[in-house]
Amino acid sequence: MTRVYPSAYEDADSQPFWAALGEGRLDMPRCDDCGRHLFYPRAVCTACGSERLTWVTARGRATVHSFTTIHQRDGGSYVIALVDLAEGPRMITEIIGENAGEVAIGAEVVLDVTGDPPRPFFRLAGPAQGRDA
Amino acid sequence: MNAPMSGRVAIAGVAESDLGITGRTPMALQAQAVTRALAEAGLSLSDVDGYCTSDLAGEYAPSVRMAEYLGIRPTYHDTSALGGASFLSQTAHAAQAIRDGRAEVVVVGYARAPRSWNPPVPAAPLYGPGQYERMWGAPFPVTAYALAARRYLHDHGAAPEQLAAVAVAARRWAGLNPAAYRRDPITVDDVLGSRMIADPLHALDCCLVTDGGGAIVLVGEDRARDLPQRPVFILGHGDASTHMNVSSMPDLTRTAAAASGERALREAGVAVGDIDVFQIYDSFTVTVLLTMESLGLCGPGEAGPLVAAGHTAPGGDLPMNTNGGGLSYCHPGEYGIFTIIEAVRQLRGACGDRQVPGAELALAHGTGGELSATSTLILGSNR
Repeated sequence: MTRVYPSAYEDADSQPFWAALGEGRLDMPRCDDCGRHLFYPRAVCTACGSERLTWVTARGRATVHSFTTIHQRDGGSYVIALVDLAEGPRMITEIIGENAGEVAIGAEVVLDVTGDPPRPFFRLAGPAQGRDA
Repeated sequence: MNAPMSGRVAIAGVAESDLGITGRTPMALQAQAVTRALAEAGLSLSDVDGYCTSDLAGEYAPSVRMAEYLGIRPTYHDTSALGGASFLSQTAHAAQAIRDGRAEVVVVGYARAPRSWNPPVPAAPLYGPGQYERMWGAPFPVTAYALAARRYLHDHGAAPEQLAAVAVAARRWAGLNPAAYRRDPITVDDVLGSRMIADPLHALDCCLVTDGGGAIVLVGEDRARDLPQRPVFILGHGDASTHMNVSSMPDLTRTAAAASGERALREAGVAVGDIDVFQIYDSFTVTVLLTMESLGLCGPGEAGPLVAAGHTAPGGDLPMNTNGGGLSYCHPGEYGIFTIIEAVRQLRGACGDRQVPGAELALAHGTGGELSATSTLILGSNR
């Protein structure tokens, strides 16, 4: 099934995010003052208002908060999920892998930066994925 | 009762444009609705000194553009944008403007024509905060509502049948409304058997996509007493937002209605149990369940069983979306203005077969974005 992934206009807020994906990482700002991780990336900390932020790399572990299987008109489908990153923030992602259809609320997932341009997909964690923690 | 919102401003006219598949432009439909609403109010375009709308063919300064199209020169404008909730908010602002003496006759208008008017729009790249959701190419807003619906079913051990019951109740009301787009009865099995869009939401869990416009006319109470329609007073209002993009929604099962509804009820000096008829934005079936619980009509997880038992359907004790709602009557994109129109008609006792007997107090409620922003109005005919 054909998937269309829109292209992004990289600006000062988002360029470090896309640049890190190009190197296989999921990066996000962390507040130098209160330690809060911010996703999506912003120019000020939503917890304390500080402008002193540093881009850091996520561990790539997350827990599924909710999910939906999108059914396309031609019969294809794919799984979109809200996941809670180990660092705290929640993000939307696509769950990929042979067993993506087994996703459940509470499932542990791991980052898989892939595609062209690279995007932060996740896969269900576990030995079936052939990935270590 | 709170003095600043104690029934000094009335809705004197309401109207829809042509609805459905009209072959008309958004400008034409909005103009139709406005002139029809003024006509039933016994007023004309030359009386209008305030104009409010959130959208006109996607261009900036929509109230200025629409005023030009109508040939009027308003001295009060409002383009407050809360998505589908915009018009409830603009109605409250207009009431304040009239109380303050800044305007005498204010019109709130809206129309879109997604079935008839779709000029080519060049594909823009992703930008801004939305890019982190839209990068996956998934359809919005349905994906956001499906994520909330999945979480709701999970938290309450509920089944998709409870969502489907919302669509069934809406269709029963639509069967009583000659203006509704879809009027043939449906069953829970019909909903569950319709095409899956974004699990657990099926095609019949999603609102219609139709052309349509609406308008309402506001005047001060003294003037309303001299006009032909029974006045309907604005008694209370609340706005609230919790996020824009669903990944920033604090709790997927609780909407901003908890705040906007509480403010509106408090301002009107009434309790949710006093409301005779509810017009609640129904972009998707799940929107209604989450809104009922957030407004305090029932506790968490109780809305589905209430709807499934028929409480919101014709003859029930919580009559809701009596025009058939966005699910069966009309949904051009920002449905909120139609919640006000139907509430006014119910309070006038003008709803024919679908009239809720003796309705004196109505709650109209809009929801915009991805369950993001809400606006609640309390309207009354007898205060």
